[in-house]
Amino acid sequence: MTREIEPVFIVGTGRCGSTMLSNMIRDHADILSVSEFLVSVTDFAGRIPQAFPEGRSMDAHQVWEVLAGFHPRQTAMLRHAVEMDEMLYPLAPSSRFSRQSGVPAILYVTLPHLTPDHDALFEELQDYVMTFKPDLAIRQYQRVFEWLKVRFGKKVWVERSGGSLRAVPRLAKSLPEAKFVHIVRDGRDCAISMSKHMGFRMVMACTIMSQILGYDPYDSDRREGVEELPDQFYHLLPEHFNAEAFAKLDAPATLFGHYWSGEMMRGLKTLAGLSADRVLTIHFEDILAQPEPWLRRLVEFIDPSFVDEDWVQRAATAVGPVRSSWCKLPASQQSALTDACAPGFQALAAHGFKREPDTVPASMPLFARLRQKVSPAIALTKFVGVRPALAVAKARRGRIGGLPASIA
Amino acid sequence: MTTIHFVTGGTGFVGSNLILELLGEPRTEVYALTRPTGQPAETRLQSALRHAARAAGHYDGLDGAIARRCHALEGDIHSENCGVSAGTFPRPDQFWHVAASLRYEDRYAAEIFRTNVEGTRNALALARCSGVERHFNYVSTAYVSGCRMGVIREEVGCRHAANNPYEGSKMEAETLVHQSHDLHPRIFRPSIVIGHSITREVSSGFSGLYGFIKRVLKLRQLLDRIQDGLSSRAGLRVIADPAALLNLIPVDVVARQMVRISRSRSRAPVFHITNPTPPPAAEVSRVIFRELELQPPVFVSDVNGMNWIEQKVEEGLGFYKAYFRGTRLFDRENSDWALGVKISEPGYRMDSSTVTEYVRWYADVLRGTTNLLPGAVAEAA
Repeated sequence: MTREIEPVFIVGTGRCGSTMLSNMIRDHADILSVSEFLVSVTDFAGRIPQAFPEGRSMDAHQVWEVLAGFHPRQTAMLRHAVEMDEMLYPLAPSSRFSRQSGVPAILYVTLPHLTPDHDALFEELQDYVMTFKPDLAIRQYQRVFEWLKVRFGKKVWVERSGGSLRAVPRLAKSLPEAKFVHIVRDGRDCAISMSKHMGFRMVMACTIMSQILGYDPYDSDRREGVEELPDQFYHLLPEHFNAEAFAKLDAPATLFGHYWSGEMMRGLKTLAGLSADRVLTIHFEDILAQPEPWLRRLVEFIDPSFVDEDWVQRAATAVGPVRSSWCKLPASQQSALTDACAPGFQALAAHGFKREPDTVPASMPLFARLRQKVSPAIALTKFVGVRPALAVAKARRGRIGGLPASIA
Repeated sequence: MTTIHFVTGGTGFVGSNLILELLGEPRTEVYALTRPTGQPAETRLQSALRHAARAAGHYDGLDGAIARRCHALEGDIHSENCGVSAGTFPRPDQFWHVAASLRYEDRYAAEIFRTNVEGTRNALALARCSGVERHFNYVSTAYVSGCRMGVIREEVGCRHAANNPYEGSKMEAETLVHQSHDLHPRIFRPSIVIGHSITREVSSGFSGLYGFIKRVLKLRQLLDRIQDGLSSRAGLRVIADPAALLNLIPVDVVARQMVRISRSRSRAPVFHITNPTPPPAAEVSRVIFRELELQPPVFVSDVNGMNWIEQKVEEGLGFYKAYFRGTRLFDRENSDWALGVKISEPGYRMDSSTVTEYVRWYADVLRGTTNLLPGAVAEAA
């Protein structure tokens, strides 16, 4: 009889290095890496009530509507070519879906992350979902993950979505058996990265618009009070959306520093309420500095029987250079950003996860830095073969950089 | 003998209070140009006036007079002659043009000018067709003074740079009105009109001070949505001139003074309906921040040293910023003469506790802890 292994969610504030873990885990023989499922089906957390209707069952068609839906924020961004870097669906002329048609939520990242034959998998999944009897949303999604697990011959699934720290209360309540890996990265680097990230910029724009209007303009036909919107947000309404206005959106790192602090304060409080054996907290900077022990610890937490030294070594070589760094900012901006992140740092210290705010990754010897530059591309090819590696590289618009650690 | 008044904008904040004031004279009949937006014009007018009467503390005491002596005329100031044939109502003794767009954003400039300038042109045409007996009374704004500071006289034609399209449109409309000598025009310029001087309540038209309060509240809520408790942890720096005065005047005082001036023998063309003893803008800001559970603002003179959030707050205040910069002293020579010099007006009193009562009433409305009259809820929030 096979032992039941608890599902795992890798959570974080977003832009915290968790994508790197998804990519590493994808190569593990026993672990199914479910990437960006929550963020895609909730349309950047804007459609949580639709994806997780409170206390209500969802039938097969409703589940498929969420999984395969063309969600408004994602579609607007796609049509104006401001999609996230993480999007893996190839927008080639021969592709089934296009910028104009929109791309089903689960095809943005989740299915292409697992196989280059994602369109066929999408069809298979639809056939399976259509057999669902009504049940709570989380249980339906769990069935999807279980099906994918079996389909890919794995023993456990691990879901990871950018910014899913705020989903922990809902997940922990609905799946009392689930465990959580909390990836923590210096808030200043997260904030800088968020301020440049299309998804987070969209989330921030929608948050501000919803707050001013009192409703979400991406999920409502109401338009009263639009005169209250400052010009820069008026041009981000779905009917006026344009890439130029989106690029000009003034959403600096300090704003996201405050956001990071808020997410960290709330997230740590929630995680502290769970039993200790359900939570593992890892600092991203520790993985960068010493990948092997931390990757080993991660797999031990998922299940000790999955520790595979070959995988640990391979995954460790895929640790890439960090793109954004608060240390490169002018002194005044460093100071403002540190102030914005201070409540988050204080919360980390209060929960026993203190890292000195001024700590920077130790500088590496020249050889190690060269190895970091070259090894990700080689590692990716070794992990998934030449074709998928090229597909990933193409999807990232030809930026063959392997697995940049800064993609979260 | 019955006196006939024709009013545009009678369902709005100032217009409805003007009609209530006019009804104070027993032999007065009011014909109000009313758009049938969503419901018949007559229903809409009657409903707006009953709400205004209750907000003014009359309860149902004026319902009978409103039903008997107020008549809606379906029309729209955007149409030629306001879409009304002159023969469909009696020849008015006085014509009151109150309807206006209170928007101010650049992106709505065309719409603002269409309503406030072309709408005034149409109202003048209708007044002319109707053979108005005595005066065309135009309700403008004291802020046609634009960027001008210091003593602002009751004069027409001193064109100054406008702070926004609203002010620009009112300047242009005043010129049109002033040139219509055949209609014996009078221009009334209220300052920032706030709730009733006794009840502190407002039945509609949550702009001006109320728009500012709502905007500060939304900014506070936004900060807290970005990070729990962010708004309450630090005092925000706000650009304001410590010497600036915020000219607040209750709506019933505005209505009363306009009606009294209209019955006076004054031949002056312009009247400031303003508060001779306005409160400091800094004090009003402090009250607003306190009532919205924000740390007291720190007043600074420019954006230097402001963090991003403070800069966004500054930008977010938009139109309202102009109220907090510089000092304007609105001369009331014409108004005071027409009213009888140095009238005693309790509604002028704007000390800290009075301002607090006005702000608290609206803060409670926004929090949902005060029950508004039906129909005003959606507009207020």
